[in-house]
Parts: sequence; C-alpha cells; structure tokens
Amino acid sequence: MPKVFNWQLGREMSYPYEEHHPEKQFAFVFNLNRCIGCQTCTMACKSTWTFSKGQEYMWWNNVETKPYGGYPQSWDIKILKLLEEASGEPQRWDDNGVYQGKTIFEAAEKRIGLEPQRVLGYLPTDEEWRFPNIYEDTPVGKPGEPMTFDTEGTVLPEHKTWFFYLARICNHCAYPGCLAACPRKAIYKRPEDGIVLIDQTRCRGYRKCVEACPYKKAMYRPSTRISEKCIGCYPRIEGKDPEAGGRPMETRCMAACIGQIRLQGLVKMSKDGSWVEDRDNPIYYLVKVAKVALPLYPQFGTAPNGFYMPPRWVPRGYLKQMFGPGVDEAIAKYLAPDRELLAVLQLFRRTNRIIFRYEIQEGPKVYETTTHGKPFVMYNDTIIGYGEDGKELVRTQVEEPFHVRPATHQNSI
Amino acid sequence: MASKEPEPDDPLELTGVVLAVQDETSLKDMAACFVEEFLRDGWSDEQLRAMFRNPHYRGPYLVWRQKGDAYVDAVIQDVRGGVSHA
Repeated sequence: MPKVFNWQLGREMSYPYEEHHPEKQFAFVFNLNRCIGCQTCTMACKSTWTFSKGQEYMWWNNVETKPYGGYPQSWDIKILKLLEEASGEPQRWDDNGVYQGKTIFEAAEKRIGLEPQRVLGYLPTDEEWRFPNIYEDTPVGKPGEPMTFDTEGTVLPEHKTWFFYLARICNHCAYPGCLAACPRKAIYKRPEDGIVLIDQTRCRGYRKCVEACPYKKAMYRPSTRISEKCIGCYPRIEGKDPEAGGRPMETRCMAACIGQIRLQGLVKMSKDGSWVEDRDNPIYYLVKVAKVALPLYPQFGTAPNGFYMPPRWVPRGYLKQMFGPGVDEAIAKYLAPDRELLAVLQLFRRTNRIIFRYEIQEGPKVYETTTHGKPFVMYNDTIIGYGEDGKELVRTQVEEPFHVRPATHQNSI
Repeated sequence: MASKEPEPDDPLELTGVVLAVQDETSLKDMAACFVEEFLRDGWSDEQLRAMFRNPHYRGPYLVWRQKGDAYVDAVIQDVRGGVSHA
C-alpha cells in the first residue's frame, strides 16, 4: 500500500491510493462550547437535500448528545472498539503529538480473515440508523417501567454527569475511508474544493463506503439502491445559489446555525497535502495558528477537515480520545483568548459568504482582569472579513454595539 | 414500527451511567460554565444563587445539593472576577 503523510497524526501512514490533493479544501470549525442542540442545521440540510422517498433515515447533518448519543447509534464506540481489537493495542500518542497506534487503514492490513477489508469498518444495522437522538435528552422511566416518565420532577433519574452536543456533517477527509473502500471507484474528491462526492451513475450500491466511513456519513438509499452522502452544498460553494450572486457561499447547515457555532471556509492546499500558509484566513488561523480547533477522532487516519473547539467543561480524558493530544492547549487558549483570537471569534455567523481573509483594526482597551489564572485584556477591536474577490463582506467589533431605539416607533423594526 | 413493547434491557433504552472520569475538577468546570453563561447575560449574584437552589435548573441544582452555598458562592466570585466588566 502506498504511503501518504497525515499531518494530523504527525507521521506517514498507509493508504490505498497515492498522495493527491485538491487546490483548495472545504473545511469548517465548530465551537462546541456554544452548541445548544437546536437541530436547526439538521433541518436546514434535511429540507434541502434529503426530503425524498428512500431518504427518510438519511441525516447528512446530525447533532448528537455525547457521551451517550450517536447517529447511527454508538457509531464511535463501535469503531473505537474495532480499532483496538484489530490493532491489538490501545490508541497512543507520544509526547511529541505523533500517533503511535494504528489507523483504520493500517488495522485493516493486519486483520486477515474470511472477510478481509481494505478499510476497517462495520455496517450499521437498520435499527441503529432508524432512531436518531432517541432517549438522548429524556430520562427513561424507573427500572421495569419503560416508556413512562416520573411525575415528580426532582426525583427523575439524575444525570450527575456532564454532556455536550456534537454537531456532525461529512468531514470531506483528505484521505477518505469511503473513497478508499469503493470497489467501483465511484467516489472522488473534487480538485477545486476537496468536496467528496459519490458519482451516482457509477455507484452500484455495494455499501462498502457505508462500511468504511468511520464517521458513518455515507448512507444507502433503498429506493434507488445506491449510496448518497453530504455534498458540501457544492452549488453554494461555487456561488451558484440564486442568493450567492456568484460569490462562494457557506453551506445550508452553516448558514442556519442559531447558536453561531459554525464557520466554514476554503483553505489553500499544497501538493503534499499540507495547508499552504494563509495567515489571515480565519479557518487557517483557528486550526494552525491559534490551535483552538481540533479534528474529530484524528486517530482514524482519514485526516478529516471538520475541526472542533472542545467543550471546556468535559473531562479531559474523554476529550483527548475524541480530539487528540491538542485538547489542553486548545482549552487554555479559549479560556483566556488573546487579542486576535477574540476578534476572529466574532466572525462566526456574521455573514453567509465565505470569508477568505480578515483584517483587524485596533480599538481601545476596555477591560483588564485575571481569568482562570491568566491575565486577560480586552480591546474593542474591529474585525473585517473579505471575500475571494477581495471585497469587504462584513465588519464587526469585539464589544457588541449597544443600540438605543428612538422614543418614537419603539415597536417597529 | 415494531409492535413489541420495549423492555428495559433492549439496546434502544439508553441508560445514563456515570463515567469513571467524573471527578471534582469536572464538577467545578461545569459549575463555572453555568455561572459564566448567565453572568454574561447580566445576572446578579442573588439571581445566580437562586438558580442553583432551583430544582428546575437540574445541572446547577445538583451542584448546589452536593456542595452547598459556600461552594456556589466561591464559584460565582471566581467567575465574576474573570468575565464581568459592567
């Protein structure tokens, strides 16, 4: 198997195809500290792309309640367990942040048996697909009394533990598991933006992609007998949405985000799969410079392009399993953000156009304190986002402007 | 839809269990987040204390019941020092 370099693992790894990368890559950052699990993203996607017959259980975007929830049910627990069994060792990162365990591609090489796989995976059952979010946020009845609710609120079974919402879409991976597993070569990455698509005319519905995608974001459609997946709203990325006016626009799920947790962009790629330095691109800044956003389960080895700011209240062991070794640094930076980070965080959901570059205009110091044991100074800086054509898209500031309505027409907009 | 009534040991019945990683640090982190979120909305100390004592705010209430007034007060003051500049 050819060797490719995976920057998220800090090392080379096996992959069925040679290194080959797009010019730009679709990527996004989700701030999990802010997700309220409202499912507006889920419905924005559903009502745009998967409302037809045969797509009833298809949720390209979903939000699940961690640690118990998952769509399909227990997807991450199952793949982590498979990975540990197949590689015969726990998933370890060394002190330099280099992954020492096996990826789903490397574990599959070792797992030789009756049904050899190119990519380690499993096919979820119909039941696992069928009930997204069931029981995730509602306590079940007392033992022996299923499907009932306690009438006395305060004596409900207690969730003494923490939880958080994990919003997920296809990660449009640099080394997709779905693409690697397809026996028909029906799956490809678009050279212009790295969006991973299933060619609907080549697909024959073998479901190898459904089995291989560790994030379980390739889905089978029984009415057409072929598979489908998140298309990264590519017409919007191309600026072909009627509203876009020819300029690249963020996906439906991003644009609909009530909690303003999402920011999506396109990063420049070099031939070796690394990101070209683009200091003032907000996605590049958050992932590579500030390092506050981390990939989801990087140990799978697919180099996902979705990055998450970890929820700061969750036990670190759990977060490190989910986001890799950068967790402590990411949370420390988020808790006491520096001047630039605080400004960039204001860009989330200020526009539906894709921001390619930002600029900060310095403002006055408005506050100074110590937070979480670190000095924190706040400046009311102004941050300006620019589009691909260099034109200004949005202008906002760190302190929320205080608007006073005029005495007349107080109730009018 | 299946016609069989769900039973407690059905795999569909998610039952929450406390993970082994739950400890004092994560309780403090969680309590601090509750305070932070409402503090940013301009809540007073008294309003925050009342929230922790109100059983309908399940998370904060659990913290208060396990740890009491003094602990909650300390967390409020700790967080207020960090985020408030009213």
